[in-house]
Amino acid sequence: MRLMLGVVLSGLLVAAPIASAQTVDEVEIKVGPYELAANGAEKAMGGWRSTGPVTVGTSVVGVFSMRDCGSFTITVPPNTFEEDATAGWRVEVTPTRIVNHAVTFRLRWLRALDKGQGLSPASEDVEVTLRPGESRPLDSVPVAASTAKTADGRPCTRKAVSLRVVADFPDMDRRLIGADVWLVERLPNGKEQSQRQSLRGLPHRPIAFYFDGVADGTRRVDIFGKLVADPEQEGMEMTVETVRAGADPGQDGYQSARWFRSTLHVKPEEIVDVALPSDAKNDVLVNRVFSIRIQAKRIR
Amino acid sequence: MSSNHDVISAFLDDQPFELDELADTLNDPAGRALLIDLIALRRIVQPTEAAPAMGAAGRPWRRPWQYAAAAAVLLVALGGGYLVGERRAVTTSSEAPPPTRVVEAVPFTPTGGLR
Repeated sequence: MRLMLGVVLSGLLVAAPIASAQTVDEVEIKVGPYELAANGAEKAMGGWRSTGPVTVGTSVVGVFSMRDCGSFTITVPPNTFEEDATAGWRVEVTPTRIVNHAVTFRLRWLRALDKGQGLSPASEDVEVTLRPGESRPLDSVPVAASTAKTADGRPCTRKAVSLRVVADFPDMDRRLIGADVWLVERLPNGKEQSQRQSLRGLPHRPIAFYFDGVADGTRRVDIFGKLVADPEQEGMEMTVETVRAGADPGQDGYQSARWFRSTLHVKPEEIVDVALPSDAKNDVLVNRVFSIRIQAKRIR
Repeated sequence: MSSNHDVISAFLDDQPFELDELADTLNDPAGRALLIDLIALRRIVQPTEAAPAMGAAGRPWRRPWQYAAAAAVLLVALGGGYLVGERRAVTTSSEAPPPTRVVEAVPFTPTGGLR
């Protein structure tokens, strides 16, 4: 009996790290260079070192070399910095936990190469949690004025470059979500009046919808919003945000608006009606009762 | 549809056509139905006997029942097309289907954008 218990415990201890190491999420963590242009705008320069779909316990290392005019090359160990690099970083990301697409990871980075700028050594070893779409800066260095040009031959206007770590869903996702969305108005006689929109979009990305405005004399209500579909084992989780906004007469804006949110688990072929509760104090056309009706499926 | 019609018409009229295109068209049930319709229509509207000599031009070369049959086929085709079109229009109408589940949205005050 004692032997059996020992075997079971040993099995659990061995299996636990294996199980955690196999936890995979669609979110990816990527580290890449950003440039600070002469006009003050920061934008991604385009190269990334990515984890791919995050696997808990699996480290990913990137080696970043900066050259003249802040141009970057990215490689992986055992490769080292470029010979003509003026600054270089080693960045290591180790995911440790994923909860509802929020990724917690250990971030270790070191500016291991610095030629001639007199910058103090910099490094960090921190735990970071990012939700999809969030990012965090690592390090930033000024770009020395020089006659060097950019890769496409233009004069160098970069003032500084930085490294930033980003969590997000992959851009190139072949899956496609399709949804029919109706704005349904329940009439006093019990009948329904509706208008439909057919939507398509990527998983995890907002898909916007805008219905035609509903008018009564000079008063007008616009109903619009966006939905985000997260595929599940069977069907999908769908977050629906809807805005019911009263138009400002004669203006392009709104004089009032109310926001609604719903999180649904939608099975294939299911048609869900999301009622928008009325508010006598804040609604324009308060006697008009609306709902959003949704049928969604994965197209591919 | 017009491409299907063209290749089948060319085939029936002994005009040049692409064999592969005809084969593709006949692989489609709609293409086969179109071929049968056109053959039937031509059998009805074309004369069963040799063309009359010029001297007999004053005599009508089709009998009245043939005109009636052609008109009937035309009416059936038009009516069928209308019904099919109407059915398709219904399936793409804006009328909302009945829900299988009803939930109530929760009002909130936004503090940031949806991801």
